[in-house]
Amino acid sequence: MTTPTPMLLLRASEVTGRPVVTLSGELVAEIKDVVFERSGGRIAGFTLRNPGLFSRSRKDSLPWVGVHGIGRDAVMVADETVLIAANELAPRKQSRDADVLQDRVLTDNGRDLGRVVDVVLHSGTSLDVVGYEIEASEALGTAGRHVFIPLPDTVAVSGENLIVPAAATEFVSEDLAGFGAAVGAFRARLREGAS
Amino acid sequence: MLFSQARKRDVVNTATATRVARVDGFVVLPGPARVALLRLGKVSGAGTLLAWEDVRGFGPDAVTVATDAVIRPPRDGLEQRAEDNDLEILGKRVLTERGMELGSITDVDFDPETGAVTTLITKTETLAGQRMIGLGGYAVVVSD
Amino acid sequence: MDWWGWVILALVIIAVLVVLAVVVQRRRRRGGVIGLNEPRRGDSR
Repeated sequence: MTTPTPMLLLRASEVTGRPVVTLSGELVAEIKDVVFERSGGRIAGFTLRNPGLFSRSRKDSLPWVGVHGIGRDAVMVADETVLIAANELAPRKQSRDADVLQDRVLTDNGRDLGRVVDVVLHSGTSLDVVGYEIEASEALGTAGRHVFIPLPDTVAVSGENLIVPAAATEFVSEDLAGFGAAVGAFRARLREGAS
Repeated sequence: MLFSQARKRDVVNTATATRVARVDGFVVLPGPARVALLRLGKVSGAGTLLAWEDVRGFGPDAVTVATDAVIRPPRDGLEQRAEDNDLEILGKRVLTERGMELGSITDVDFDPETGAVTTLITKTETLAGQRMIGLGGYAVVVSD
Repeated sequence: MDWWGWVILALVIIAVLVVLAVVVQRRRRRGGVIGLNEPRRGDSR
């Protein structure tokens, strides 16, 4: 087992609203929603809206393969040809009511851990959902505070509620800085358990 | 030579030895980063652009041209945007290709012999001109 | 109702509309995190 490598983490709320900029320096759009696959947690892409205060959402979207670089201040793309139809990225039928913000997080043994207030992403060769920032319920001892809970690298497909293994509660972090290590340790534990 | 030093320099017609315009700004294009056009003010004709190829000399006291005829209006969409100041590099935000902002351009160093941009300067960084990938309405994009 | 009554009424209506517009805009601007249940078509994993 390798030691957990340091992870580059960012919140989904830090990505939404970011400008999408081509390598030739033109502003294309702004990120509206982050779209991920519940099984595996991989980011599929982003829905877009036009820049500006009274902006409209757009009929095109940015798939992850079209992203050249994603940083603190902008999402970079080669040019506008990488955009695809929004319906192709997230079919309307699937994306309706599929926002996980404000969803409840339950452990697999049935404890309610709280509501999702943000989603933690890990940026590497791919961008993956690795945890939830939740407003903790009484079940966690830090009730009312915002804490981070890690997700396994293979998340079971879930419907209404977000189910996490009960062991995740042992790897709760109170700050994002320490959370990368917690995700690594949690996943290592799950793999040991499985083998 | 810095843009801040080179601005406001007179453009002199060497055939008539008269001042025909004044340098108001620089149009930089990427790949490789270079001064492609000068934006002029105080012109007598309709045009305000002067292509770098038409500059005879970029000296310490004046920019010289062989004839007034080289001062012309924009020829294509890109030159139109340049004239409209949409592509002005000074004050433009710098983004890396990884999406990190490095501040805004405060000055640019260029070679007055060739027009090649040697250095991009922001409040906190000095970036080699070769790093410039793109320059658009929103940002100057540089490689990592 | 006196003329100033109408003025106050108009001001109140305008204020309500502005607040409503701001609330709607803020809700619409907040980005979401959409979880897809099925992998996308033609998506190799």
